[in-house]
Amino acid sequence: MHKIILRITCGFIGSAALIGTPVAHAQASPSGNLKAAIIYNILRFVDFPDGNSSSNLNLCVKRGVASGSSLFSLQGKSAGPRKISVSFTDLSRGADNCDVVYLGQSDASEISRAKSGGVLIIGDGSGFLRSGGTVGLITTGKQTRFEISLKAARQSDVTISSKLLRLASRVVR
Amino acid sequence: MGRFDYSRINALPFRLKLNLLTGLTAAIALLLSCLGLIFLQYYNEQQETKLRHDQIASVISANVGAALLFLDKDAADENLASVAQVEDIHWIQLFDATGQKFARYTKSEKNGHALPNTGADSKISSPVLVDGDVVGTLEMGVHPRTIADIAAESSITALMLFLACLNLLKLKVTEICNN
Repeated sequence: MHKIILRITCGFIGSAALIGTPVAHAQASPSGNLKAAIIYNILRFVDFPDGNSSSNLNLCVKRGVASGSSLFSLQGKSAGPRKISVSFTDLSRGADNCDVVYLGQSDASEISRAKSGGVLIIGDGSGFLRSGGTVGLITTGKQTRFEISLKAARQSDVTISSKLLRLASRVVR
Repeated sequence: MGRFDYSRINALPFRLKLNLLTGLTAAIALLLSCLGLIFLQYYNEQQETKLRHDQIASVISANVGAALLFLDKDAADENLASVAQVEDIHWIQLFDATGQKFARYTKSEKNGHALPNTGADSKISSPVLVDGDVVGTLEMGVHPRTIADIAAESSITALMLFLACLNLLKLKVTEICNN
């Protein structure tokens, strides 16, 4: 079935406005800020299992990914009732205690390793969903779109809002 | 213009005067009831319309939040266009958190139908919230029915009632005069 392709035209200025605060990190890039803004907005439309307001929402970022520094700007921001806590991990021992894992460009083995402890797996590239990821970010020029795998979300017991699904360029069921 | 000649009324038979007085009282009572009903209908409609508009604004605000966050104008336009079938909403527009207009839907533009000349629209604003944060504002231009609209709508019924009363009164007067 063909899904209507909705283009997400977030510019750099828009992304900075969405993040709300200036990005403090010296190495933060415009595309990184855009990705951080998109990831933050995605998290606002996702319900996590056992998500209670007292615990933090742990966003684990794979060490060394290009947008990692920009994602640190999400530290302390609220996604629903929970505050985002950003940490960097090398995933050598899986992704324990992570609610969200951002992997950047990754292969299937890395995704499956992250899945052992993580819940929502976000990464880059058109093949990310095929490798088992939940949300894939695809950058074309200045535009960044996202794809969602409902199958992977169901397996992880994560509920993604229909409002978000409507905006995705592709939804894998 | 001369003064009203009361001697002509005094010359009327007592029964006719009594009937005329009763008829006049009934007509005034009917008129007051009609006016009261019109005002009551207007008041109720105002309340119901406000509630309906507030509900529509909240539903659209809730749905448009994601589109606004992801700067997806197509999705926002699609959401705003959902008011197309709501007669008394003439336009709707969405502003982002900085107050910049993000999307707008106007009936006359989109549907090709000219809107009736109904005077100024009143504006309803609703914040667009995501996780309790205000990410934008939704504004709707609405034109609820005025008291004149309701009176115009009721005028045919009122006229028919008036004519029926007049006919009854005429019959009564003729009957008394013939006696």
